[in-house]
Amino acid sequence: MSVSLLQIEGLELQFRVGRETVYALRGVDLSVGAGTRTAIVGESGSGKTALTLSLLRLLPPNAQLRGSVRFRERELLTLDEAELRQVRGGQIAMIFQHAQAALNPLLPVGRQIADVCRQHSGIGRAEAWERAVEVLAATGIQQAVARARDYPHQYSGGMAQRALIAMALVCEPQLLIADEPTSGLDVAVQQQVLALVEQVVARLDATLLLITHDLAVVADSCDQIIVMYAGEVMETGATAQVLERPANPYTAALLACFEQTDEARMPFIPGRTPDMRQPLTGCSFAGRCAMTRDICHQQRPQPLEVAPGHFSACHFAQEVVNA
Amino acid sequence: MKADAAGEALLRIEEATKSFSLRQRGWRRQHVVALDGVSMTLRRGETVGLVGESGSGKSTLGRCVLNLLRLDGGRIIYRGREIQALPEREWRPLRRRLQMVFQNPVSSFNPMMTIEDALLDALRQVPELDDSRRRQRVGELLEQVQLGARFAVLYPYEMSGGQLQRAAIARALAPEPDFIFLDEPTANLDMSIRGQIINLLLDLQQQEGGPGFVFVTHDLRVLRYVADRIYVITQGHVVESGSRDQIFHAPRHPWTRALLEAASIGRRDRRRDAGSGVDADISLETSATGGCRLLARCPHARERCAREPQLLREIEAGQFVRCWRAEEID
Repeated sequence: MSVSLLQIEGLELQFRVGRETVYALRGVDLSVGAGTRTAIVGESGSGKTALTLSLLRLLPPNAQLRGSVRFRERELLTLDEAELRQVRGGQIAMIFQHAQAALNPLLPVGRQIADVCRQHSGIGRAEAWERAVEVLAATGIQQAVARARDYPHQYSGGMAQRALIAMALVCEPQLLIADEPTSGLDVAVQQQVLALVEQVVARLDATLLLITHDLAVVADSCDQIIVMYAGEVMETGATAQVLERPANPYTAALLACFEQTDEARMPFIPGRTPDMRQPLTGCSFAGRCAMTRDICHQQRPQPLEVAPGHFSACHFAQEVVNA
Repeated sequence: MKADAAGEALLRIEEATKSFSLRQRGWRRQHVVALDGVSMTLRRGETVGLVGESGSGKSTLGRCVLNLLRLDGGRIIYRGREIQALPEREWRPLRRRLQMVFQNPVSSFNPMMTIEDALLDALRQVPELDDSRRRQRVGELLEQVQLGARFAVLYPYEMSGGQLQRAAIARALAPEPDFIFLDEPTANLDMSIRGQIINLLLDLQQQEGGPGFVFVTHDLRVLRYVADRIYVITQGHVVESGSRDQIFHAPRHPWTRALLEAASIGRRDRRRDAGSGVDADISLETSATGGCRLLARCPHARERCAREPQLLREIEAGQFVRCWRAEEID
């Protein structure tokens, strides 16, 4: 694996809700190599968005975060607000889902991009505006000079997503986090947006962290996969390894749900995700897994390396990968 | 999938058009064409898939068929009567025969009512049932959607999305409808549990005298299992229609192919020219230039596509395509 850009160890995130505690992340360890395009795959509640928001500490006051997040050897969890602001948007940029909602409806799009630019590079208003028009044009928005003066509601969904990509691009970040960048867009636009994200990442020589629930998107956009479930990392490895020879029963079951077969009935995973308000003793997937044995309920599985660079948190990872 | 091709046409949509006007920049009005001459036939007991992206007009169509919206032009014939022309008094008794299941099961239930209350409410539309019979039906309906009677006492917040969506289907079944319109019923559910809803529909299809379904979705994957026939709709137009096998195994329209490709995990030969940036703004495209509306997004476009409006034509028995190049593209 390449040099690690982002190193996460023992990351735990809990939310206090009334008298209850919600365990959003239950000890996440992972590393993202510099220059890779890494996907975080998981279903709703798996913790994929919680994870990325934790990296930038964009969390509500009732959140408790423990563990370590090192970005280029620098610990992010102990930075003060001023230092953190330089990292957010500057070195780590984020593209949020629902682009329309991520933009300020009261300001022209170009102004919003220029503001980000000024915040991080300290250039003047006029220069920042020019830079904003430039990046808008670079993301494929036609008549960028005029469009920069438009407000978000005058943009279509695809254009808003492009504008958000432009905003991420303007400070030339080293890590670009894209959280479900294609949700809510139609297929033709989805593919353009994905291709654009890839292009931007390649041009900046940046690292991509793509969050998605759609395995079809991952297959040709990313070279590494991190599969999450119920706040834990289930499996990591190269895309081809994980998709072709999954080593975790959850990954295998999820893949089956995406496969196009001529079976009469649609595959699904029985049961439901574990109660996030309870601490877990065993494997988080034990309640739904076809292979569950006693040990799965008693002991939490540690990541096992089934092939070079391919890890699975399952007591029977070797059996699964050989199946 | 029990309906045969000769099944009785229960509901016919003829050349439906509908546009909405919105005010933009002062006094100039802009029109959004949501339906532009859509025709389709729904036969008794069959499942029709309606696939299209957001803004394609598929939900508008559903609303018009349920008589929740008035068409600008065209007709909807149900049991031999033009429903949009019916006075409220005559439409009332028919209304319960056309039911709907919405995308978001959480917001489609009253949070203050138990599932039993919600079902009893729906059963009030069946005048021939007395109170005790209605309570009994609640249990039967919950069994039918594979939830079980113990769910009757639960409130919506106590159930998962998949369970609630099944309860929504039970509620739609309650007034003994001819058709249930399912508007993106799996879109809010995780991929790993979509199968539960799809397989439930498969079971309901097997029941004698059960309703037909119109399954509206942007995800072709799920239609592979449940649809007898599929209409592919974009920009208010049907661009292709045919049997499930025709659409999945021999799709002819470039748009249908794009939808199928996007849904598969394998390597897609995606156009990587993101910079070309043809992001056709569907929702606000007001007037067609006369040519094919997918011109700007079609990799197979030729000069002729810009000049001629495309007409829906039968390319195989039962398969209709709106593209003059359909035979050449491979």
